[in-house]
Amino acid sequence: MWKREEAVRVPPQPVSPPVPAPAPAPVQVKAPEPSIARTEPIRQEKAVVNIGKSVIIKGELSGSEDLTIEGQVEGKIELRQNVLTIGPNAKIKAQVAAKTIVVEGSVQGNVMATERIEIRDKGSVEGDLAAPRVAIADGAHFRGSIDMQQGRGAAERSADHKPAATASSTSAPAAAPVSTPSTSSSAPAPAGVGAR
Amino acid sequence: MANLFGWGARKESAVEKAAPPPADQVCASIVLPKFLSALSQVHTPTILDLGPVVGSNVAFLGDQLGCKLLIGDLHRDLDTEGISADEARERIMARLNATLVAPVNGVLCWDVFDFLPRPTAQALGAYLTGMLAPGGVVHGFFGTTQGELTHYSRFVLQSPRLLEVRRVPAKPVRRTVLQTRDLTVMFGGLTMVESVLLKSQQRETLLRKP
Repeated sequence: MWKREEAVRVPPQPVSPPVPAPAPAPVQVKAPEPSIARTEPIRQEKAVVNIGKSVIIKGELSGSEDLTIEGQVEGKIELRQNVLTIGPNAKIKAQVAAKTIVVEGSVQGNVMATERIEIRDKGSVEGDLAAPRVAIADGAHFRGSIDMQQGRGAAERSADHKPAATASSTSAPAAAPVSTPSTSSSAPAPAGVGAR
Repeated sequence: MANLFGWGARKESAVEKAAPPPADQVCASIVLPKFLSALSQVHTPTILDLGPVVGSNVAFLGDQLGCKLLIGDLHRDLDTEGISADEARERIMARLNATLVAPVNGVLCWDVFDFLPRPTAQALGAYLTGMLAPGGVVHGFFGTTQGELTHYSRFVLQSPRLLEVRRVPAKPVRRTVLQTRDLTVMFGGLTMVESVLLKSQQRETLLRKP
């Protein structure tokens, strides 16, 4: 009987060796590493920079990341390839240019987008808008001019610039004059007699 | 009893079709299609809208005419508290002077003139006449009965013939009644192309610069 018990006790010992479970553990650690490596670039692309409520900027603001402004800016804002969100608390007195502009706060100055301008219901703009697409919500306040034709021209120009910029930066100036006739040739698209 | 026979219901539907009562509603316009048609002859026309901005109108006019829009929103000046009529006039004229750097092809007055004191209305009429390009058109609704105005209208273009009228509370003012002869004097040099008296006692008018 005694021997039997021993015999029974013995097997649990070899079972314990699998305790080297720490060995698989490093495997688990290794696994997340590649996933972190994958998510990092995505995070960088989607990263939105915030300018907080208490921040006041006077001067020129430019960049190549999406930006949300909650503070005050006076001067000029330029994010040619990115989305600019003017938050509900923001007060902007500036010329604003971006790919897409969303206004939830207050803007005094001209606003130009190569893709779209959106003024949300609590948003307020006093100035001129130029973009191929403009959306103004009910309850928004706007005073100034809206030019969707000029916006289209700007969008086409920026589209023309893109391949030039990727090819070589030096060719960009040469591309600019070429883009001008292309926009003028596309202008007559809306059927008009040209009375003016 | 009248309702039993459907008499009341018939009356209500007749009123709805005929005039824009105080509540929000949709009404047909005979004059507006002519305004749009006149502007469709112009390549990239410029339109001055004296009313508040309406997002769907911006999209509608952009699609229909490919135009440049100037939003005046005069009600905002008129509704400003603690401001006299003279100050309001100066403010409006100064701002329009700054905004209108070139002639415009069309002016949408909506019902703004009802809210303007007579001197302001006359000054604005003369100014708009001067700023209108040859062939340009002016569209507006002009009230024909005295009374206090407590709401202004936001006109939403649903189609070239249909307008949704939304009532927005405004600083109460006495309506300035402008009869046809007043309009002829005020917009001296413009021809009255169309003038339709609506059951709402408003005259929908289209004027054109020869």
